[in-house]
Amino acid sequence: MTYIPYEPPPNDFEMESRHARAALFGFLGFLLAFGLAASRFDLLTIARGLGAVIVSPDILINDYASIAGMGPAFVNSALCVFVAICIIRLSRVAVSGPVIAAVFTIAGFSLFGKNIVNIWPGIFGAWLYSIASRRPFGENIIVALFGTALAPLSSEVAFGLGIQAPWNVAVAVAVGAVAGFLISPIARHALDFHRGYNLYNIGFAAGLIGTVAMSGLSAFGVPLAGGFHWAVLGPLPVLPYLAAFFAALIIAGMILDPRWPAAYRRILSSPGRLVSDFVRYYGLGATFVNMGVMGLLASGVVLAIGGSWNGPVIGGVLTIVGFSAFGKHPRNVLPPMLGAAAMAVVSNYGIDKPASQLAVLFASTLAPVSGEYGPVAGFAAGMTHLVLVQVVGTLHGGLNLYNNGFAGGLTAGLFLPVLEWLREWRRHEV
Amino acid sequence: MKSDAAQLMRVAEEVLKYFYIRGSRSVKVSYDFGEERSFCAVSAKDILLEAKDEAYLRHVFDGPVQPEIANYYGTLVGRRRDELEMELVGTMAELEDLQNEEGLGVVLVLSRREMEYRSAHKK
Repeated sequence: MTYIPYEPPPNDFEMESRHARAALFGFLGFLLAFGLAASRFDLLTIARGLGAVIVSPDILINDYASIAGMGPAFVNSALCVFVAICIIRLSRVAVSGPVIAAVFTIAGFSLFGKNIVNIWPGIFGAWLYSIASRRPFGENIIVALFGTALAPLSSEVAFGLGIQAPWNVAVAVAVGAVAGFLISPIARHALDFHRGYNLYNIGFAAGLIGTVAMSGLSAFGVPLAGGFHWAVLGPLPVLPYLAAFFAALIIAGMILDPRWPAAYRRILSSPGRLVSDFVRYYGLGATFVNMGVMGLLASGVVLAIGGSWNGPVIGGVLTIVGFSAFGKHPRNVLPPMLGAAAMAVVSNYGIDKPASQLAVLFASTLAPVSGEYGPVAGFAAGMTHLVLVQVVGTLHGGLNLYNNGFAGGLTAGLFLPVLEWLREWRRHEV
Repeated sequence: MKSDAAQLMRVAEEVLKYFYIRGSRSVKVSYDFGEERSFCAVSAKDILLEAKDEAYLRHVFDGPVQPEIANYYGTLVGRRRDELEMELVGTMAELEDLQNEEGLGVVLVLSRREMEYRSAHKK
């Protein structure tokens, strides 16, 4: 007689976590299918494209659609997502809002800066931090995945500084690992500055590390290599497929949770500041609906501002979709996005500048400001974000891919004390 | 100090704030720190939770402890003046007991293990 151990039925969260993991595989399939189709299933083209992606110094803005084509860029994105899913699975971490956000962010930034090779040193560094802290790696997995923001640092050291092989690889791994190690404690500390009002917190921490790295390189007169790559592409090659994916998310959400309207109303009333895990508190069905709606909304914003449908912009859209499981919804993202767009139009920067297009999308990192303090505060924060993001990139020289997270952290950290004081002053609690 | 002990103190502070906002002005907090598992109890005799508040608290602790969230974002708990972070608290500690009775008041007992290996309920 075979002994079958008793397993209690999973609770709702664990069941939903399994569904969410399956959905991540679906997302991986979408990226891979699109990448293969865009390359017309020419494996040689994909291999050459991946080679070009891997050896390019990846400081901002390095559009993989420009240097390798849309097909290899999406295949690279699929490979990076596969690595992320495997790490999550091996770490036995439940898939909920922050993990979904991390995977979609990796997917998005793997279209312009992260690749299947340069993400490893940072992850290795985060693993070393866990070893040194005598804690399971799973506890540090969110930092490890988001911490790949500093992937260009490794690429730059390996392929941009002219170091002879094989020393270039060894130094790149070492530098990337040190950055990945350091970002773990710094990211936790960075939360104190904006208290969860900047959703891209790792971007803020990575910006600080990138600034130190850039300062060190400047001190010894080491110039950064890497040019500006920005493809100008129309919506037709990619938008219909993205829209179909977002529509599929909405339909899947409706099927998963027939009572999604009530849960979605609760999502819309959430301020969205860290930690707002929509999967855990409102269910996977309503979360998928929100992700699909936000994908369509972000795509509409790109169309409205006349953005180019290249790697960075698609990356921005995918990042918004991911964070729609972790704080963002239509009510709290629109004020900062509109504020950033308005400031781009009235300032010297212009809405057609690449940095402005990205800033409009990524200003949604300040969604908690409008969610907690109202649309006027969110609009003003978005305006401030746009002017900051245009200049803070020079501090880290583009080594931090989450430049908008850096600017968003500064904006939120400056706005928060003033907004808090105003609220307390109104209540006569000062 | 162990990080788990520090996190449990923050958790208790957040629950204390929750009770204060619900109207309590007399709250007792007690701890029992063990080698593998630590406990905290927060009690307020001068209030009773409405049914929706009790349901909310139970919902907050309905999911498992999520060490990947607790370890990274746990520093946000107990910091803010007005905003409550009870949902974050739910990822940091397990609900051992919740009593909400006339005469007794509200008693919330939470626990935290020394090491959480995965996002799951009690093993």
